[in-house]
Order: sequence, then structure tokens, then C-alpha cells
Amino acid sequence: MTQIDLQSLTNTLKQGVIDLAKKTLKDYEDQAKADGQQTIDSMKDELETWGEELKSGQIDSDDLKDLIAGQEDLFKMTALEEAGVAAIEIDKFKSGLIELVTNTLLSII
Amino acid sequence: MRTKFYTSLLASVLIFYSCSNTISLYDQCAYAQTTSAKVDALNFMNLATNDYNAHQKDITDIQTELQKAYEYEKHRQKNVFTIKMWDILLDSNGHLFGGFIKRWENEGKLKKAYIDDKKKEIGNAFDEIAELESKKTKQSQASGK
Repeated sequence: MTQIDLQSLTNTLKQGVIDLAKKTLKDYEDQAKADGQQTIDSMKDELETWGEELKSGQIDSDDLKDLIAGQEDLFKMTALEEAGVAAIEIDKFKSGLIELVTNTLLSII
Repeated sequence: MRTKFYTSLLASVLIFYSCSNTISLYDQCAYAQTTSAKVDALNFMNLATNDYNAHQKDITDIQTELQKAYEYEKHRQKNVFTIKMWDILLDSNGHLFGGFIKRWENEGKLKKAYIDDKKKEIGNAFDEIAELESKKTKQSQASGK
């Protein structure tokens, strides 16, 4: 009968989980930073354009207020999108965990 | 004995995790509906330089198209983030598509520069929904673990 070194198995799984968590979080962190930066840059450009349009009379102050309020709604949507991506990463982590446990156990059984 | 134990453990872990996705899987139909609705909604917005009352049919048509897409999303399991995004987009008391229609109704006509600026905002809002969908795990990836 196959003998299993329980301590070695536990250590392998522990290290595997740590590595997997680090990689999953790093991927998500990089993506979230890039998306956040892009959102801020985009809003800065929009504000400049709207300011010029207000000066030239192409839009009025009510239009401007509505556009700024629209940005607030858009931020809420961006936050929801990020939350959704975090949930996707959690699922990837769980999937990776299954693979880790499967491969580790199969290699010693 | 131990081999049996670990095999059972493995099976239990696999069964538990395979049944517990946190968020819905990718849906090609939902993605196609969102991107199609985006194109139609942005084209529709160009009409708002004209009188609101002259475009009742166009307004009903686009609202129906968006409601169909929203209903589809509402009936998918574990789809709360996408549904909340649609809620914000369509809210007539908000400042994206629903708010745009209401403002057009109240004002009668809207300025071209404002419409163009609003189209960028609303286009970005549709993109957020489509991007989340495109990042979801595909069925083939989920079953090929």
C-alpha cells in the first residue's frame, strides 16, 4: 500500500496556496491600478473639453452639471466592474486550488 | 486505507468547489446584446437635437431593446454586478441613458455638443458592462479545469 508523508503533503499544499494567492492578487492589483488610472486620465480630459464648451456657449451650466453627475454614475459602474473582476479572480483562485490539490494528491497516491 | 481517505478527500473538494462559482460564466448572447444595444443607443441619441415628441416610436423602440437586454441579464444566476450596472445605466432619475431620455423629454431638444459629450459617457457605461462580461470565465475553461 502506498505510504503518504502527511507532513510533506501539508507543506507542499501550504506553499502552493501561498504562491497561487500571490499570483492571483498580483494580477488583479495590476489590472485594477491600470483601470483606475485610465478612469482618472479620461475624466481630466473630459473636464477640460467641457470647460471650453461652456466658455464658447456650446453647452450651458445645466448641461455641465448633468455631465459631471454622469461621471459620478460612471464611477459607480467602474466600481461594480472592478468588484465583478475581483469575483472572477476569486473563482480563478478556487479553480487553481482544485488543480493544486488534485495534482499534489495524485502525485503521491 | 490512507489512499482511500485521500481519494475521498479529493473527490469532496472537487465536488464542493465545482458547484460554487462566485459569479456567472461568460455568456456570448449577453455580450452580443450589450454591444448591439450600445451601437443602437448611441445612434439613437443623435435624434435628440430634434423635438422629443417627433420621435415617440424611436424612443419606444430603443427602450424596448434595452429592456430586453436587461431582462435577459436579470434572469441569469449570480449576475448581481451586471444587473446593478444596468440599473444605473437605465435609471431615469440618474444621469446616463435613462436620465438622458428624461432630460430630452423635459427640455424638448438638446444641444449637439452636449449630446456628443453624453454619448461618450454612455458609451463608456456600456463598455463597462461588456468588459465585465468579456472577462468572465468561459464555459470551456470552467469545464476544462
